[in-house]
Amino acid sequence: MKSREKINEQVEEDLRKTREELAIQEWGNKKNLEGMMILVKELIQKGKEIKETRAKEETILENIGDGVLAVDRKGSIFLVNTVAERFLGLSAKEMIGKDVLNIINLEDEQGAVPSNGKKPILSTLLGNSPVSGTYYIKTKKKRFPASFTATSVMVNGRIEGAVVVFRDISREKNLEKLHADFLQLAAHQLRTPLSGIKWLIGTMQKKILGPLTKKQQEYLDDIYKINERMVGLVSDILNTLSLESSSVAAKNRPVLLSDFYKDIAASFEYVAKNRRVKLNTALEADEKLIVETDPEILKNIFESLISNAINYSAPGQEVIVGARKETDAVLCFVKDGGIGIPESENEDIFKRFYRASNAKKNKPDGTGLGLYIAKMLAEKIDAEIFFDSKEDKGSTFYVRIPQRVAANRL
Amino acid sequence: MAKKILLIDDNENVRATLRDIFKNEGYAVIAAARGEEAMDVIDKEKPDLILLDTVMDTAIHGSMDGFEVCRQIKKVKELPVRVIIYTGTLEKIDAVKARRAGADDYIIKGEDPGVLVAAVKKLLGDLKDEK
Repeated sequence: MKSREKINEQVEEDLRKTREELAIQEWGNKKNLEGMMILVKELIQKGKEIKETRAKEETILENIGDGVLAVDRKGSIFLVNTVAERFLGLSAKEMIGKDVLNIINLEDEQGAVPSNGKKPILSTLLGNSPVSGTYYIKTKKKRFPASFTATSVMVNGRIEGAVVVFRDISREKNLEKLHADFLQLAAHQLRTPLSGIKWLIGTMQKKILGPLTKKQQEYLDDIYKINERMVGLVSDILNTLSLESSSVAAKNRPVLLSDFYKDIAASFEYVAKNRRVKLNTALEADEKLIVETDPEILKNIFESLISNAINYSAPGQEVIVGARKETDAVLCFVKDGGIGIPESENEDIFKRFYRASNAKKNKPDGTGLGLYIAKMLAEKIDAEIFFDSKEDKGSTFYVRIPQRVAANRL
Repeated sequence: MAKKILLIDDNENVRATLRDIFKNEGYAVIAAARGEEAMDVIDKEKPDLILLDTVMDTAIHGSMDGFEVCRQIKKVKELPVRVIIYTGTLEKIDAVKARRAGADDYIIKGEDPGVLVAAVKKLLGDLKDEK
């Protein structure tokens, strides 16, 4: 009997413990559930906040007046805004996930497709950042000029993608064209009467209309010179305009520098002698240096540089025209010991119509277009133009012409 | 006299925040950073309620985590002290373990400190019927 009581007691005890355990479990589960609910609520709240932030960002993105497009490091598009959709004539759905090269068709003003390395987004993905440029975008419906700025997206020092912002600049281009057209018309209209004047002066100088007094002769010579200056100015302006509207396409031909320098030195012989400046060439050891470029454009650049060098040198000084080979370029130079360029004006010297203060003093009749044109021309042949100068000590102007290695020698 | 709350949490910022919250509610607040040190404080100060964080860096703060501290308090001390265990981390949710350790309540420390305040007030009988 006693054992039975004991068993009963044991059962009671077990039952109590089980109940206790159950209560603990029940309480714990209820509490756990409450806790989970709190966390879930928090997560939902966080999710809402994230959604709101996203909505805000999207609104900003959509309201930017420029087209925005983002690509991953393989060039696959993952984000576009509405403006980009409108510009490209494609919906976001049609663009996302696609290779940007297949979506944006770029060409230059003449309709040539730029090499992949020059395309802003690709160039950025290859490590250049930021990249800006103007290209024409060709879509199914239209072709329009657009200015691009592409920036790479770096994550932990690695390029993970790029963002490009672009805008339609048709309006700006049109204005530019109107402006150029107007100037071109004006320049043509100026040239005609100037030729007329030149012809009339010539007639009088040849005494076809009768003899002239000495004073009259002198005055006519002056008028002739002034007229010539005017002709030079107008032709500079015309050159500038034709360059700016980039109607000249560069050709590529091998140019033997020794011959090239000989020809150009010959054309300056008279001017140099007149100013009593020595014009020498220095090709260093390599007489057979060849550059692959547009000979006409190169000639124009050198005419401008040599003419400056002679004009801003004092009688008795020397101008040296030379070149030396670099790894993948040829560096040509024109060195003088003339008046130099004041350091404070170094940045302005290639600007349109800019003339250094000491140059204005020395030769009041320059146009300020020579170096501007030279720079524009250099850009046409992908050459780099720069200088080294000290006031009163002279200047050296450099033209670095990039070369494919194979074309360096005959 | 104001009821006394002991905070045991290894995070100084949490201690400071909770101290401010409960002082504001009219309680006297004392704090400890480690379980071991808390045992002495309990002897001396005789708090009415203990707020315990489950996760305490045992490597730095001694051998006891929150559950162990709770077990010790409930076993060794024969004090009418209430213990609330709270936790902030999702993966540590374990109310069953807390109950087994003898905790009077178990709270998930969410963004709303009101939950913790309400739990304290309820256990101390200070909760006015706000329903």
